[in-house]
Amino acid sequence: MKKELTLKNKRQARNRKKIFILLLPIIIFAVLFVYYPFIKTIINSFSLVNAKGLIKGFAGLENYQYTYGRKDFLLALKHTLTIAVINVPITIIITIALALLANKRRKLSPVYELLFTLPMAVSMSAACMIFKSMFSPSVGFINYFFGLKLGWYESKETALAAILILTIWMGIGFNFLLMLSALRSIPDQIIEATEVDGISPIRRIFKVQIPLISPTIFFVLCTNLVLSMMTSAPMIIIMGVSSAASSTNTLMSMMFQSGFSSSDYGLAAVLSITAFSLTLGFTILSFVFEKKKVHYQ
Amino acid sequence: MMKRKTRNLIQDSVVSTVALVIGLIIIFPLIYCFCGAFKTPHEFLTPNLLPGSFTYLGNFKEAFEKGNLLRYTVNSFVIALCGTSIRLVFSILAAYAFAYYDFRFKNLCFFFILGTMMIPADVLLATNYLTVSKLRLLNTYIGVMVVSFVSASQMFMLRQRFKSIPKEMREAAQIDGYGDISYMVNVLLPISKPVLTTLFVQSFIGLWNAYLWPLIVTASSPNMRTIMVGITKLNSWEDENYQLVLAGVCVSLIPSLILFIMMRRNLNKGEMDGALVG
Amino acid sequence: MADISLINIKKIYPLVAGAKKKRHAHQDESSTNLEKTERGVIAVQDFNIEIKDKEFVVLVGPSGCGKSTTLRMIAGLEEITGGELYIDGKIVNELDPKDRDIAMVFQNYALYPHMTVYDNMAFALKKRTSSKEEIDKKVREAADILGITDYLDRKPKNLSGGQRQRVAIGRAIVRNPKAMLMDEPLSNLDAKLRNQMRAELIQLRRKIDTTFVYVTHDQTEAMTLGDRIVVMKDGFIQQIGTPQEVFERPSNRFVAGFIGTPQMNFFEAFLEEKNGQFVVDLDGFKVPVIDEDNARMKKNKAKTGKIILGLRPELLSLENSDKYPAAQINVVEMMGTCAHLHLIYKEKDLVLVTQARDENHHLKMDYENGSLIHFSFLPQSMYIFDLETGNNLALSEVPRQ
Repeated sequence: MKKELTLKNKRQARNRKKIFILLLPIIIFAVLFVYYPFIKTIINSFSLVNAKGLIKGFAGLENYQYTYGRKDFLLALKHTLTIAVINVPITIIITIALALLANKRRKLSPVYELLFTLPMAVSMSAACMIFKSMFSPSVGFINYFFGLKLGWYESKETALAAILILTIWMGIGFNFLLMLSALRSIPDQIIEATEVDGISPIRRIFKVQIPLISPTIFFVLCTNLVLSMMTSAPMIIIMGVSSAASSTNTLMSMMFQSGFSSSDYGLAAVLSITAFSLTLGFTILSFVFEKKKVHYQ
Repeated sequence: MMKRKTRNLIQDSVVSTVALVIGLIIIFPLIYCFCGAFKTPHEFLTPNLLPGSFTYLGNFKEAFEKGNLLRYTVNSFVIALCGTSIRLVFSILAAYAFAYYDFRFKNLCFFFILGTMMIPADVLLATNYLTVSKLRLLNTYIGVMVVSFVSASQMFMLRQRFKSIPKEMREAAQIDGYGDISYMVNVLLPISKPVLTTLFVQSFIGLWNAYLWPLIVTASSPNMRTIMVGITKLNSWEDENYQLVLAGVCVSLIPSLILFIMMRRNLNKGEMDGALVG
Repeated sequence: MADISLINIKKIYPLVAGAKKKRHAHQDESSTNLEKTERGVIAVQDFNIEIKDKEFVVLVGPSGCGKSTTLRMIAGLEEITGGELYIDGKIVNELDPKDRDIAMVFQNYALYPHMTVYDNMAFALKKRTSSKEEIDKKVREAADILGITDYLDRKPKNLSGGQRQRVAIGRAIVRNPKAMLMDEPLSNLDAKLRNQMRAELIQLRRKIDTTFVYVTHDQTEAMTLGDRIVVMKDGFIQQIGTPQEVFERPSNRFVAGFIGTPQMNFFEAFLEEKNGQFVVDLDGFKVPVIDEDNARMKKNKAKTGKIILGLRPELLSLENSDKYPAAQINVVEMMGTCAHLHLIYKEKDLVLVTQARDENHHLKMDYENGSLIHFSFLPQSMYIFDLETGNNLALSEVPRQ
C-alpha cells in the first residue's frame, strides 16, 4: 500500500514539475515585462523619481496636480483626444464602405482585397517616412498634386491633419479585414430574403447589414480608440521630440520625450498612467455603448 | 431588357474597376515610395511621379553605404527571427499546459497571462527600459527581443488549436510510448502547421516592423539599430534627401510585404483556422 | 499474451463544480443512474474478473454503463480509484500506459493524419526497437495479416473507413502487446461493413494469439466475438459468462432483455407454490416450473407472489385453442425464413418469432392485422425474475467470475 502511494505521488509530482516548466517562461516574462513595469509605473507616478529612475520620496497626488496644470500637458491631451475622436469614426466609415464594396466575391477580388489590406504590412516608421516625404512642402507629392503650397509641418493644424491622414491610412488594412469577414459571415439567406422582399440596397445596408455586424464595429471602435490614444510615433519621427513643448505632442509622445530626452521619469509615469486610464475609460464607455446599440445574433 | 447574367457581369466589372482604382489609391503611398527610390536627386525635385528609369540604383547604394543599411537589415532579421521563434516556443509550451493538463490554479494562470493583453506596451516603455538597462541588456539583440516574448493572443490561439485535436490522438501516442515533448514534436506540431505558420509570419512581420522599443534600446549604439530605426535616421544629416530615405524604406518594406502577400495567398487557397487577430 | 486480473476495481469521478464537471460531458450520457456519493459519481464499482491469457473478453452494455471507463482503466488512460489491476501477474495500477505493454484501438481510430500508414504503424515501434530492418519486418508482417500492404504509402485521409480501421488495428498488433484493447472499433462503420469486419475480426483473432478486451454496445458483436461476455449496467457487472451461458441463463432481467434479438418478452405473472412445486400463472394459464429450476428456487427460498416472466420470441408457439393466452396481431414482419409477429397483449407489445413455412412447407400467410391469435410456451422456456430485484430466481448464484 505504501509503495502505491509513493508511485502515485511521484507521478503527480512529475506532472506538477512538467506544468511548472511549461508555464514558467511565459509567466516569468509576463511578470517581468508587463505586470512589474505596470505597477512600478503606477508607483512612480505617485513618487519623486530621479533621473536614474530611483524613487527618492513619496509625492502623493502632487505629480498629477502639477502635470494637469501644465499648458503643454493640456495641449497634448487635446491633441490626443482630437486624434482619437476624428480617427475612429472616419476609419470605421471608410472600412465599412470598402468592405461593402468588396463583399461580393468576384474574379478580381483577390487583387483588390490585397490592395485594401496592404497598409497592414507597413511599419509605423516606414509609413511616417513616406508620408513625411509626401507632405514635404517643397518636393512632396501632395502639394504638387493638389496644387497647394502648404507648409504642412509648419502649422499645428495642418501637421495634425497630415498625421491624422497617416494614422487613418495605417488603420485601413486591418480594420477592413475585420469588417469584411464580419460582412461575409452574415448568412446568405438573410441577404437573399432582402432581395426577395425588394428592399433597396441603401436600406439593406443600413437596416440589415450594419446592424448585423455591429459586434465587429464595436470591436473596431474599441481597439482603434485604444490604439489612437497611444499614438506617438508620427510625432517622434516626423515632428521630432526636441522639447516638451513640441507643438503637436500627444500624451504618449510627451511621455516619450520626458522619459527619454529629459529623464523625467515621474512625469513620464504620470503621462503613461493618464493615457492608460483614458483608454480604460474609453473601453468601459464602449461597453456601455455596446449594451445599447450592438445586436448579437 | 438585358439578361440578368449580362447585368450582373456589367455590374461586377464596374464595381471591380472602381475597387481596383480605389485600391491603387490606397496603396499610392507605396507606389510613391517605390518610384521615389529610383529617382535621381535631380528627378526628385521635379513633380513627375515616375522616375526616369527603374535602373538607377544610386540611392540604394548610398543608403547601404552611408546609411549602414546592411547592418541594420541583419540586426532586424536576427531580432525578428529569434524573437518570433522564442515567442512561439513560449506560447506553445503554455498552450500545451492549458490544453492537456488540469491543475489547481489553472484558470488563475490562464487569465493572468491573458491579462497582459489589457496593458498597451507603450505605457511600460520607461520602466522596461530601466529594467533592461539594469540587466545590462541595452544595445543587445536580447534586449530588443525580450519585451516581446509574451504573446497572450498566440498562446490563446494555440490552446484553441490544441484542444480541437481529439484526445485520442494523445492517448494513442501515450500508449505508443511517447511522452509530452516527443508527442509535441512528432504529432501535435506537424498537425498544427497552418496555425503555426500563420502565427510565425504575423510575429515576424510585427517584430520586423517594431520601432519605438528598438529605438530606445539601441539609442547609444548605432550599430545595433534595426532597420525601422535606421530609415528614420537617413534623413537627419541631409535634409530633404528623400530619395535616399525612400530607397531605405523600400528595402525595409520588402520582407514584410512579401511575407504578407504570401500569407494572403495561402489564405485564399485554404482555410485559416480563424487565426486572423494578431 | 498475458492474463489480466481486475480485483474490486472502482472508479469515481470527483464532483468538482465547474470545469471538471464539464469534462465529464463527453463521458457516457446516462450518468443519472450512477451512484453519486459525496466523493463523486461512481462510474464503475465492484468490478472483478480474471481474464485468462489469450482469452477474448467482451464488455457489453448500454451507454453510460462503465464499459469504456473500465477499458481505459486497464489501458492506464484513467486513474483507478480503488482496487487492483494485474497484468501478467504484476500490479500495474500506477504504471503509465506505455509501461503496461498493451495496445489500444480507439473508436475513431486516432490515426496520425500527417503520417503514411507505414509511419503510423512504425511509430510505436520506434520507441522500442532501434533497428530499421526489424521495424520494417514487423510492419510488413502486420500489414500482410490485415491486407493493407498496398496502402502503406497512403495517408489516412486517402483511405476508406474500413481501411482506416484496419490500419488502427495494424498499429496495435505490430507491437505484439500483452493485451489488445478495443473500444467500440466497429461503431463508426455502416451496417454492411460492420458485419464484414466482424467476420474478419473473428478470422484475425485466429491469426493473432493474444488476450483481447473488447468494448461494444452491440450485443450481436459480443455474442459472436467473445469467449466470455461481461454485461454491465450503471457501473456494475450484471453477469459474466460465455455467450451461451449469458443467453440461456441470464442472471437478471436486464441481462435477459439485453442479450438476444428480438428482445425477450416480459410479462407480469404470479408465482404459486403447491406441495413443493412452483407454478407460474400467466392470467390463468398455468405452467409448472421444470425440476432443475424448481430445486434451485426452493434452495433460494423463492417467495410466491408477483413475478416477471420472461419468454424469448423464438420460444413462443402459435396455438389455436382458447385455453391459451390470446393476443392481437399488430404488425407482421416477413423476414424470409421466419416471420416476426408483433402482437399486443394487454396493451403491451409482444414479439413472437415463428417459421414462415409450416410442417408441410406451406407458407403460413394467414396473419391479418387485428386478428387474434393464441400462443403458448414450454415450461423450460420460462425465465422467472423477481419483481423488485430483477434477479433470476432459478439460478443458484449470480455468476460473476
